[in-house]
Amino acid sequence: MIKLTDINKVYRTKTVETRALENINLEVAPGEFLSVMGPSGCGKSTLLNIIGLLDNPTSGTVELAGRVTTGMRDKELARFRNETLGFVFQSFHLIPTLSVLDNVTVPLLYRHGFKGNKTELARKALEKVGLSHRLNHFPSQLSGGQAQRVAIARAIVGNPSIILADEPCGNLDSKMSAEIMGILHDLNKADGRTIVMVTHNEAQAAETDRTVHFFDGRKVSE
Amino acid sequence: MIILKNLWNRRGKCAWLFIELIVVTCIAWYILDPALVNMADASLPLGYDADRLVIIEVASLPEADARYDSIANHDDTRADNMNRMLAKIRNYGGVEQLSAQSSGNILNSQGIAIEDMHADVPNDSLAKGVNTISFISGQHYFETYGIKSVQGSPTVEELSARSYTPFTEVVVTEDFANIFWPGENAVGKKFYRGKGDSREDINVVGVVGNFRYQTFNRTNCAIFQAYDYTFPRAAFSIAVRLEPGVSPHEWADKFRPWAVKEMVTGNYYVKSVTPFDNIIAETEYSFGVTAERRTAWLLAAFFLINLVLGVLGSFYLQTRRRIGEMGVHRAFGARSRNIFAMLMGEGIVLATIAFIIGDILYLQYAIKNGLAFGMGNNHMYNLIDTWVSHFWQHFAIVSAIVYAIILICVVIGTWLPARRVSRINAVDALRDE
Repeated sequence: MIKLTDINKVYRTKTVETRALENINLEVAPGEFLSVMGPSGCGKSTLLNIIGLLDNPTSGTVELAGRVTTGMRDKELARFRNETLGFVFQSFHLIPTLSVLDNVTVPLLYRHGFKGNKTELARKALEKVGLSHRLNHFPSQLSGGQAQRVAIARAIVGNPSIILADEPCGNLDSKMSAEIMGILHDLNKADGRTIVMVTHNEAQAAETDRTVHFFDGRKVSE
Repeated sequence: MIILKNLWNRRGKCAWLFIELIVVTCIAWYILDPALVNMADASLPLGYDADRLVIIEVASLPEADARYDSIANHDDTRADNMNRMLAKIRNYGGVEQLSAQSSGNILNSQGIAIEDMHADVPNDSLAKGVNTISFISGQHYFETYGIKSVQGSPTVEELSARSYTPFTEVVVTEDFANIFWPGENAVGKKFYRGKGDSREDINVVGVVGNFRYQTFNRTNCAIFQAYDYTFPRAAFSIAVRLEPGVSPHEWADKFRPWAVKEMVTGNYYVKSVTPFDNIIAETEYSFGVTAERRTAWLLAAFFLINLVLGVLGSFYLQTRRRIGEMGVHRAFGARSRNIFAMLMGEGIVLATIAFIIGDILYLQYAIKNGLAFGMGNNHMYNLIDTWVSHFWQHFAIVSAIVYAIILICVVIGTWLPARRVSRINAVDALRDE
């Protein structure tokens, strides 16, 4: 499902060169739940951004769902992102001026040739995360756990095969974290979605199928 | 739909920009309406050919002048001298046609004569405030100015050549004829000036095309009344039509020194030689039209530049705060152009709604106080209709132009921030939130 080959990412300024990722080779099987661990600044989020096609590697190849994404144009990348990937961010990244329902609808706005009922799909996604009673609330009226559930609903509304979660429980207390992890596991087991999750929490990582550890931009253990 | 939702849900943040755009619409109306009406008036056809025209003013030497000849002051001698002057100019190079005329009746001059005219027709009351212009019969007045006769009327050559009974045989304009005798040939018809004992019948001997007396006026009804130059005056003017390709300014520059030496005829001498565009400019200046136009356009330019900068500043600040939001859209499949279109759409929708409200507010003012009328001849009754004089047509046209101008300013003001935000990298955008 996900195949990274010899991925390097270097950030350059006029005076400094920073290696964020160094020779990363990684494969994630379809339906696998992979967790990525490592200290802050070790390149976990950079890795997730590269898998999510939000950032380009300096060198190396990214293959997602059987397609090599290197060299794709902005239009193709956007479409691929929209149809294949779903993101869950640590700080939720909900749009504050849109209601819960409208936030969840966002990916469908950019779905090529979509003719279905956006609101209905968004409702179902929210139902799945247990938030069907908060459709018209705004993000500022939600608790952290509820906001993250909205973010998950938004990630799954377009039925992507891969979900990328960047510390999804990083801003939540243990009870909320458990709820969110429960939803993610459910999406993995019941729906068969491939999930790559960045986390600092060893217990949460232990619940996943596999964990890879990063240090200083390198994959140090599996 | 997301544009409307964004605007509605951000209504608190957009409110002051929204109110600003409503006020801008009202001010734009107030500034642009007169400017547009003046521009529309100025673009109407003059009805005569103002190109290649030069006006020569002729005056008489004062008695104290050493060259003064008391014999030449007799009427007959004056007439001879006038004709000799005309012949001299006709033989001067570059002249196509010329016509002597009374100084007060140069087209586009500062003086304007208005008279009430009547006819024994049902719509008599329509014909009031007619512009009366005197010309000297036997001169090539119409040909020199390039005024054309209409179908059914004698040609302008015939109108120039014929003899007239002074003040009772006249040439009228097409619209004058249409008001009294719609659909009929006006030649041979009668109308009159004065009423009761002072009634004076007037015969129409010809009909010419409509024209505008001054460049800042609209077309109004006019009559040309002839008189014989049996009593030549101490001063008169000569309209000179130059041959094609001859520059009036160059011709005037060459003619002036020659005229000083060669054109003193009897007691007549050439006082001034003025290309017609200078006459137009002087008339506009003396009526305050030039200053009013400049002020209107400067004000409009200042206002529009401020509008662009204001919108630019507001949108820049607003979009700057929304970079993270745009990162979310990018992460879920939006392309740069989607983001750009969304932000531009928000600007356009906001401006459109504000414009509609501002337009309705200004309409209340306009219903009570009227719309712009133009700078000239608002003292005349018989203005020929244009869109300016039809309230709803006027309102619709200026509304469309004001909307287009506001929209252009808003698009310019939104373009830069929208372009900047739409091109930002998704990772950087998400980090910004």
